[in-house]
Amino acid sequence: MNILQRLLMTLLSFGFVLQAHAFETFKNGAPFFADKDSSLPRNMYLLSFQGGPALLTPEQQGILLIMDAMLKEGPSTMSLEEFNKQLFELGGEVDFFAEPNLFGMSVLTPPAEQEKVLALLKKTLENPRSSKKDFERYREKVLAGLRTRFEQMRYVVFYFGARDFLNYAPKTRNGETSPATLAKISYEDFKASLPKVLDYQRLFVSYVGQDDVNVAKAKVETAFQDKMQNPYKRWEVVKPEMPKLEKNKYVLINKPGATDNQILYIFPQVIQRETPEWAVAKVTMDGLGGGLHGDLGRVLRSERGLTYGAMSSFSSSGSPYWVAWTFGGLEQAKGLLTGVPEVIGKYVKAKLKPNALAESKSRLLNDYKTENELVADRLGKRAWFYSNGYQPGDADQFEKYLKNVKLLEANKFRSSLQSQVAAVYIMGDKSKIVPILEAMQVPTAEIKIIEISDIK
Amino acid sequence: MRLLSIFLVLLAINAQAKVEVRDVEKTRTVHKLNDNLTTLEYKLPNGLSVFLTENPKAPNVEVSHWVKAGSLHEKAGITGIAHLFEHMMFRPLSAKQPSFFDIATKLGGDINASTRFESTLYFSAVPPENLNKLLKHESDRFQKLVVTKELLDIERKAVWSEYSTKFDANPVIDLWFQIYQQGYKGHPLGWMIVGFREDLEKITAEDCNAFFKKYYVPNNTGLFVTGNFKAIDALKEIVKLYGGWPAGEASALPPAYNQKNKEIVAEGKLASDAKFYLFGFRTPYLAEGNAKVQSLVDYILFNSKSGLLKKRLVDTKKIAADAGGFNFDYDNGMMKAGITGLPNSQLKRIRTETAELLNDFKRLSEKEFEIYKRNFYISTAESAQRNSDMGKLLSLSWGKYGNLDLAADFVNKPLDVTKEQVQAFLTQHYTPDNFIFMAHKGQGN
Repeated sequence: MNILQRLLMTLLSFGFVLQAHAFETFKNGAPFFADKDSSLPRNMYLLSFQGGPALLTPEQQGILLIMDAMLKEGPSTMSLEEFNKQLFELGGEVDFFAEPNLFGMSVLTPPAEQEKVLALLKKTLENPRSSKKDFERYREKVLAGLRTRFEQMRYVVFYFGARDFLNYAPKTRNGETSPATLAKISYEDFKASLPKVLDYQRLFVSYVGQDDVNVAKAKVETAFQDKMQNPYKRWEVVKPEMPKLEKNKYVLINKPGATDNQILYIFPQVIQRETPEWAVAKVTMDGLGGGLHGDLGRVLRSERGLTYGAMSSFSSSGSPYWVAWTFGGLEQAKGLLTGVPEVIGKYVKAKLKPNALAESKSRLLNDYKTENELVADRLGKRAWFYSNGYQPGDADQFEKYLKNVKLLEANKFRSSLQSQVAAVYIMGDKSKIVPILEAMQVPTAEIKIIEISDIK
Repeated sequence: MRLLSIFLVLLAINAQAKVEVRDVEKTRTVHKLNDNLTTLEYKLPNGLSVFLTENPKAPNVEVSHWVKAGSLHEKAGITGIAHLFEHMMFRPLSAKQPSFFDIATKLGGDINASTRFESTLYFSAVPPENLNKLLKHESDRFQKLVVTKELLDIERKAVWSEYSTKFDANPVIDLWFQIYQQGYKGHPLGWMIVGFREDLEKITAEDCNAFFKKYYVPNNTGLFVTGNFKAIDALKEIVKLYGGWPAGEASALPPAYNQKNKEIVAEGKLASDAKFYLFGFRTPYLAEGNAKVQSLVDYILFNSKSGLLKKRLVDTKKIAADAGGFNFDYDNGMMKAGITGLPNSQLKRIRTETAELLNDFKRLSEKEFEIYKRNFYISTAESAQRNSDMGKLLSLSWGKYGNLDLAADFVNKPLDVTKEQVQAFLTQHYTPDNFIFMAHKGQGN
């Protein structure tokens, strides 16, 4: 092979690996984040209405779930059967989702049918099936699914812990809600919220697929041009708030008869995502509870056999806290409740060794690359970051920050890890857990008991 | 005795040395998966099947071992041993050594495993530069693990924790456990993968070592390497590391369930505020001859947004909040759907409507059937874009379906299955005397 052939091979292979990458804007100034990927069977569009859950009060969060149920049924101008039939025949899929500061919709469509699929979505958004009777039906459907979700103790303890810890601050709004709160949502509130959430001035679009970026952009403009007339407005994200904690407290979510216990420790600490400090924080959490190799997993599971899992992480939504979490049966509860603070206490005092730092960086880089393998992964991530107040390119910085983490700063961060003032959320049977806490000499005044029906 | 040991070691080294890469290369079979990916299949003299799929776009390299030993290979009285043993595979080879978990995570690895009815799948993903080191430690644990009482007793407690958090606390997982117990009484499929709680206490280190010796043999194992690596280099390492692994007895699935059936309606052991039903119908073991038909049946009936069950119960009759497929790829012997009920849902009505799906299928036009096939192909091809998912599809096709080439059939074009074939399958198996309905405690009426 001669030099020219080698050069050509190199260029071709780079062309194969690297994707086109574009930040364009629509006529009204709204961003269009796009990549071309010829290997995908279908084109994917993400329509992101910024604001989403943050536009609604904690009590209104379930409105987004009801909107999801409503929009899935297509426009009121055609029957549900006809809507489903059209999507089925076109090979399209439309999904709706809520994330912090975002209500989004993903559209998967064969390239040849994208105009028709986008037009169907537009019709749905213009004429949603939103009568009072339909609203009540959706609310009942959503409630049924939510009740099943609330049977999962792990879900409940995380859901409630985050909200209670942050006093239901705006940052905790992500479109999730409890059955008790959802049941109280009124039709009037729902109707009034629709135009607020689906405000086209806050819409931006992302795309990945077989077609060129300009072709895809033109398809969106054709479908939504009449809606995107007014100037684009970027959403202003509410900054994380630090809760006021007066003392350690144990909050026990009572589940009578439970033999399993979910235990969640929350520690207040603000770390801005996708900054050099975020990479240091990730390294710190990897060593403490990133998996079975972390100290929590190694001690509580591998050495003591107390649990199937013990993990720790900073809030991925950028909330001002980090968590340690584990679970176990009644026989293990005491060992876990005393073991978690013990392991954390030792961890913050110990020094990270150079080889452990290198291994941690290698693991985190492997995870990062896996999570961002597909162009579609990176597209979704960019949309999330942009909606949450970051610059689009921030989503791609982690690898660089991680490589730059130094031993000195990792150790400094570790020793400053907020590990003293924690709130502990436990889900289990109060008749079994309270005696354990009392045996641990936790003052009764520090134990708060709530019932699932009281969860907002 | 010591001299004899040395002699045996030398013999083993000698046997290992006899396996030459050039001989293994002659066994090569080429499987073209799509325009970008090709799998090279090799067979070692000890029966180990090796599948190498280079994917330069992948972020890392994934190594999977599909072992044809799962809960169906257990004996009554020590059910759950396949799953407990899977946990032990992450423990140290012997005292004073680091565990496999420690070693692999130090290599930047993301590792896990899952025990199934017919098999156990181990998978590790590492940065490309660490592939050879990972293979070394993988081959060690597959050939040299010795379970000790001390470590088993610790790990047994961790499995108890898994048991209590899943089966004792989650009403949906409880139904999943119970539907097999109800539907397969007296058959190993009724033992469920984690086994019975009382059996977990009885399993000894000797039981684990015997299970390992009997089933963890190369001729029961498929080794899959997928991702960013060079096949020829990996093959050399694999021959060197796995060539001396002695062959054993090939495992076989227990005979199919053949008892006379009737429709079963039963309740789980956990009560719930939510209404949720798990519906299943018995199916033959997944195999080469039926995998495509079964996959398509699952998609058309349960596992797509246009699934016939959802269409009937949710969209048309409005008697359920949601309905969708449940664990098809993971399980075996039963096709299942989860049905989220509404406050006024009645199981009797749901049973009646569910039985109508066969007629709904018969009413599909050829055009609609072809669209289902096209949509199934697109969604499968989309998920196989991810390196790890392609790896799992390959191992599933070889280990569970019995033919690696099925992977290409799934991701390249709509399946070559006719409506008549699907209808024949449904007519035979989708019959009320094969149905099992599970409801939460107190909701079975």
